[in-house]
Amino acid sequence: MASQHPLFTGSYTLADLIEANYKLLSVLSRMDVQLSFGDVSVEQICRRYNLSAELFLMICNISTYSDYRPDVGGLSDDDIRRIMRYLRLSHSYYVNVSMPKIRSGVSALAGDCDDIQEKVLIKFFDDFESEMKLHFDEEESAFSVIDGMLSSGGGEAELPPEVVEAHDDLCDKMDDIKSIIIKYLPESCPTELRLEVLMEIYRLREDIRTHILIESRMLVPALAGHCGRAES
Amino acid sequence: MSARVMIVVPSPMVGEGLKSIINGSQDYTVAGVVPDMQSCMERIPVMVPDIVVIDTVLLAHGGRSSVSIYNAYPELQPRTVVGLVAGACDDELMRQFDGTVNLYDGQMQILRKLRAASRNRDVSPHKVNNEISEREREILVLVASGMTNKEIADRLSISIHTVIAHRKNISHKTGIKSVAGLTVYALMNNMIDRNSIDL
Repeated sequence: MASQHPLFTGSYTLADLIEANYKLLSVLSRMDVQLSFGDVSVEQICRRYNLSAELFLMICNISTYSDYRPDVGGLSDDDIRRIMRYLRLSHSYYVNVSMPKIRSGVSALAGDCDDIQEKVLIKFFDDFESEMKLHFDEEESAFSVIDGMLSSGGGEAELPPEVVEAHDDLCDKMDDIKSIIIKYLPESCPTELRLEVLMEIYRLREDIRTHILIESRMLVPALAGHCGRAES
Repeated sequence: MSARVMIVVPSPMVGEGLKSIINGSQDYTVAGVVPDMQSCMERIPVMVPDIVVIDTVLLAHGGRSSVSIYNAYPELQPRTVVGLVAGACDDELMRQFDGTVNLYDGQMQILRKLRAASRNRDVSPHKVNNEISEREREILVLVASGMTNKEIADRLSISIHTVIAHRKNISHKTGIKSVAGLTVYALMNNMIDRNSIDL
C-alpha cells in the first residue's frame, strides 16, 4: 500500500493527472474515457462513466509509481471484469498499434543490412511477435475462464502463474532487440530511424512492465479475494 | 596496519625469496605464495590480499595477452596487481598492471615499486573490458548453432556450471539473453558461417 510519493486522489482533475504523467493518456482510453473532459475531477468522471473511482485511481497510481502496492481487498467482481477489459485493450494496443510501428522500423533497418542479416533479423522479430501474440491469446483464454467463473458466482478463478511469468520472456526479448539496434546493426543503418524504433520499443517495454504490475499486484490478489468470498 | 600481499610465482625459489624480502618491511605481510593462477583464484577469498604479485610467465602464454586479465580473473579487479618480470614482456599485458617489479630488483626497489603500484591503483582503478573473450566467443558460436548447455559442456569437456557462468558473462557483455538474439549477434559480428543458418 505504502508509496514513497503522494498518491493521486479522487479530487485530482483529469487534466492534473495527465500533467503529472502523460502516459496516463493510454490509461484513459483503456478505461473507455474520452478526451475533452474539461476540468472535471476523477470522482466526477468516474460517476459519468460508471467506473469505480477506487479502481481508476489504483490503475493511475500503479502506472505512475512502481513501488505502489494497492490494497485490492475492496474490489468487486465488476472491478475484476474491468481490470480484465483494461488488460485486453492493452493487448490490442500492443498488437495493433505498437508492434506494427516497431515492425516497419525494424524492416526498414534490416533493409540496410546484407541479405542474410536481413533475413535473420526479420525472423527474430517475427518469432518474437508470434510469441507475444500466442502469450496474449493464452492470457485472454484465461480471462474468458475467469469471466465464466465470475458469472456463475463461484469456484476457483485464478490467472495461471505461468501466464504471468511469460511476460518476463517477452521483456527479455525486447531488451535483446534494443541491444541489437543500439549496438550491433551496421553503421549504415540511419541513426534517426534507429532512434525512432528504439523510442517505440522503450515505450512498449514500459507499458508491458506496468501491465505486469496490474496483473501481479491487482488482478491476482483480487481473484484470491474473490475465491475467499466465494468459499465463505 | 600492513598491506597483505599474495605472491603468484611457479618457482619456489623466487617465491620464497620475494616473500622474505617483502616480509622484511613493516608495511607489508605476505599472506601466501601460490604456484599458478588457478590456485590464486581459489585462495584469494581466503587470503584477501591487497596486492597480488604475479609472475608474467603465468599470463603471457597461449596468446591470451589480448584479453584483459581483469576479465579473465575478475577476482583481481579490486586489488593492486603487480607483474613480476624476468625478461621481455608483452606491452599490452604490461599496461594492465598497476606496476611491475623486475626479477633482478633489490629489496628497496621492490618495496618502492609496491608502494608506487598501490598509489597508481588508487588513481586509476582497473577497467573491466566488455569485449567477449576467446572462450566466450567459442561458447557463443555453439549457443547460436542451437546446442544446449549440456551439449556444449560435453563438446568442450568443461562442467555445465562453467558453461552457464560463461553464458551469463556473454549476456552481460552483449546485452542479449535469448538464444535467437545471440544468433543475430553472432551473425552481425561474422562469428558464424552464414550457410549454416537455418532460415
